[in-house]
Amino acid sequence: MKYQYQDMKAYNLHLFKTDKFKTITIMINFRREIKKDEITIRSFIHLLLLLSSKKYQSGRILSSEAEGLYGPYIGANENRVGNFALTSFYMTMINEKYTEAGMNDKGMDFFKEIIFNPDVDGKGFNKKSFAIAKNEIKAKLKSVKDNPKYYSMVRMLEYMDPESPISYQSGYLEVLNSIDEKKVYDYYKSMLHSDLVDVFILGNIDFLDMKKLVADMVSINVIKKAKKDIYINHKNFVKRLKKAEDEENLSQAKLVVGCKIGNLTSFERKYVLPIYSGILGGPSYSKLFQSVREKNSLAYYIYSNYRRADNLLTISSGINKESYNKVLKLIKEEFNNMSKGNITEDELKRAKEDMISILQNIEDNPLNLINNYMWQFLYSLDDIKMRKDEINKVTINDVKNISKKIYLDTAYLLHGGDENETDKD
Amino acid sequence: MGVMKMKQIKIKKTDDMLFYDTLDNGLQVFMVPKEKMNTTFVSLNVKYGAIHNEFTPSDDKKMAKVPNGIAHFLEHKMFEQENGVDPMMFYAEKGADVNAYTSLYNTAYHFSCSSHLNENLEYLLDFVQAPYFTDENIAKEKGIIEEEIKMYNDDPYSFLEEQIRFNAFLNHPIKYSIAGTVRDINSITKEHLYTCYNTFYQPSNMFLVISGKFDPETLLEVIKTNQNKKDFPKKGPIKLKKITEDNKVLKEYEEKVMNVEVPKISYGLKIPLKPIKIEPKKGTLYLAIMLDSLFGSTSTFNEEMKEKGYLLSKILIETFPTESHLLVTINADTEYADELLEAIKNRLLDLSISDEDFENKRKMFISNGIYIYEDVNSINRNITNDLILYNEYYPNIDDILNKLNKKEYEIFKNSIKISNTTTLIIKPKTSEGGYDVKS
Repeated sequence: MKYQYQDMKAYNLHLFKTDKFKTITIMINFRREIKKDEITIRSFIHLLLLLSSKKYQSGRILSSEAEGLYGPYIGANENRVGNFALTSFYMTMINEKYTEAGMNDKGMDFFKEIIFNPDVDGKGFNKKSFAIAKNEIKAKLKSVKDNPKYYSMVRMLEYMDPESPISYQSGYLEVLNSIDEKKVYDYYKSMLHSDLVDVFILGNIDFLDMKKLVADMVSINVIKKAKKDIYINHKNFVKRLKKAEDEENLSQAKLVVGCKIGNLTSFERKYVLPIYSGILGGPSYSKLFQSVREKNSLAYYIYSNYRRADNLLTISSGINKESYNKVLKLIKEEFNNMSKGNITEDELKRAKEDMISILQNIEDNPLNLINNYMWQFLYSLDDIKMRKDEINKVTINDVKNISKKIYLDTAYLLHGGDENETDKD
Repeated sequence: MGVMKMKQIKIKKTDDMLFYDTLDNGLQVFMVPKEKMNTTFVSLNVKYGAIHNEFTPSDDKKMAKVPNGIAHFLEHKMFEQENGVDPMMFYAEKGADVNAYTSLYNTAYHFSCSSHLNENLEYLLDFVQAPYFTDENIAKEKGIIEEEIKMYNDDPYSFLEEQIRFNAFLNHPIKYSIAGTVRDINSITKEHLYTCYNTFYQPSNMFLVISGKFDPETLLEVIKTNQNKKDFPKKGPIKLKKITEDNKVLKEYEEKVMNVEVPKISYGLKIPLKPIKIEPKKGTLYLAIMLDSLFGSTSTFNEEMKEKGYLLSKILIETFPTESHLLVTINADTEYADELLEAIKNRLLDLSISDEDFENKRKMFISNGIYIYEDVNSINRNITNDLILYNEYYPNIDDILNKLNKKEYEIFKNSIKISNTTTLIIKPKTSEGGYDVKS
């Protein structure tokens, strides 16, 4: 695969040439420092642009047009990544070599229409589309509790640090009514003007053609530079584990344990912490899976997750409320084993093999691959080949030593109260 | 080497090749090599799922009924080996990602890897072909599965899917949850597991699907050598209980209050298969064209419902075929359950679709074949799904798609009888203690 990167001042351009796939994938990202009072308005953008555009004035017309282009997969999402708000638009389409001539240009043009030629009349977005997007956002924000796994994570982060961006939600119901189609359009214009923009294209493409095409597509000419670091740095580390709980009507309690991570070196952040998380709470081979599920039958799932940009390590599990203390004790035991260096060469090897195999898999899927390059760029990671080599340099001692930088902070339990048996017959 | 040649078919749209063969013991093998990929995806599938709970055991003459949820329990317990080696650990050390799932219709054991393929493949055959059930290891699993069941109980979407099946069917075991209830799994014994294993886990009731980076002839040799080392007792064909299912549904309407904020609906159509005289694969394609045209993102229905604010999500449509009926479920999030249900019912009064929709959907399905062949995992799933549902694989789906026509669609459409339906609404609890759909 050939890679070309170019700083175009108004945006960064990343081009990847490979004959591995029969598709072309393009992704455009907008990002800026996250502000709590901008989150809700920003969440409209990724929905609205996909609902209609100036040229295709309803979701139905837009979808029909896509079908005529051999059904490209189009999607968009809005996320917080550390200190940044990140809005991504992506499309995978079949290379015209496998459909009909002219389709590549038509597909790209379609993508351009969606993102850069929005459905605006006068000063605001189309009222109908705005109402649809508002309904969807309202339902999504209202239904946070419908997914207990997700909700328990949200609550744990709130207990951990209500002021930090780590506890920002994906939007706020109370401000929804103050937003209208005009304000959203103003926000959209400000995104074009001041967000950092990255464009990624991957497939059997011609670099020169693509450069011209993108220059024509992204009509932004403002020079931008990132001011803020993507990583969140924690200031307060607690000595004693905080505990919190909430009651909801649930048959299974959800346990989430959150740890803050102190100052890591670049090598630790890129390689040691992921391996630490793998050994502690990775798939079936991990300490927590073996202890909590296999030896004690206390859970169906238990895993840890390294939230890189947030500098957090979290552990999630679904358990019986009555087993709470027992499970928490087992989790603490495994943290102790990690810090004492009670780690076998086999455990280290499994975690390494797991990471390498994830990298191998990434290279086999165009959307995963393009996402990988996005993360590589945002987090200043090494390229995949180098990562495969560097992973193998991590030692048990490295893993043991990093324990000192991991601070157990909050244990949170979302449960159904006492005697809540809702077995269905 | 070089003597044996597998049967092969060219996949015209993508220039890939499908290799396939049936071994002496009856095990079917399907392979799609993708030279440029890093990884290989392997699945060993058993044509045995949650619905197969009444049958004649291989060592008996009488029909037997086993507890619900047993296929899934068995899948968990296959990861227990007599020598104490945990297959999960074996694969972790090889950098391979192993897992398994049980559906209503089948059980699958799968891994993906980028090295040690031969070894990993042999081990898959070895651990699935060597059951080891003890009272202790069964007791241990009950706690784990109980938590798995509770996890699903708290998920309103899986409740919706399971309950609509329960309400639609009278007798057919498809009405029950795949994992069973806590009571069901507590009644499972090691004898049950051996009975099910011995009856269904025969090579002739299984198939292997391999997609990714490998050489087909070499791999077939590995499989054959492995299988030739093992003895499989000769068994007659599997006898499943014949289930007679009425066209009526068990319950036409149900409301359930759950821990949700946004109400959800499911509308189930229990369609008898007898009047449909079109071959199953073709029928599935016509049905998909129909439902996508009526309710998909290009439909006026979808546009209207969104503009009116009745629809807060995409309409999600799933199909559950049995020998005698097809259950089609239409699910959505809505604050206007009654209005949306009324609109869905009205839309279903006329199943006609425009020529333009018909052609556009067909074009979409043709290009979908190319997307599937971009990814080793989806190739594998595509082959598996066809084999489970139709007992054969359609590598060149274009050939069928090109034969579809509006005239035949009319015949298909007229054979669809929507007179037996079931409605399920999940409502949130209101703080006043009463129930209110529109908040």
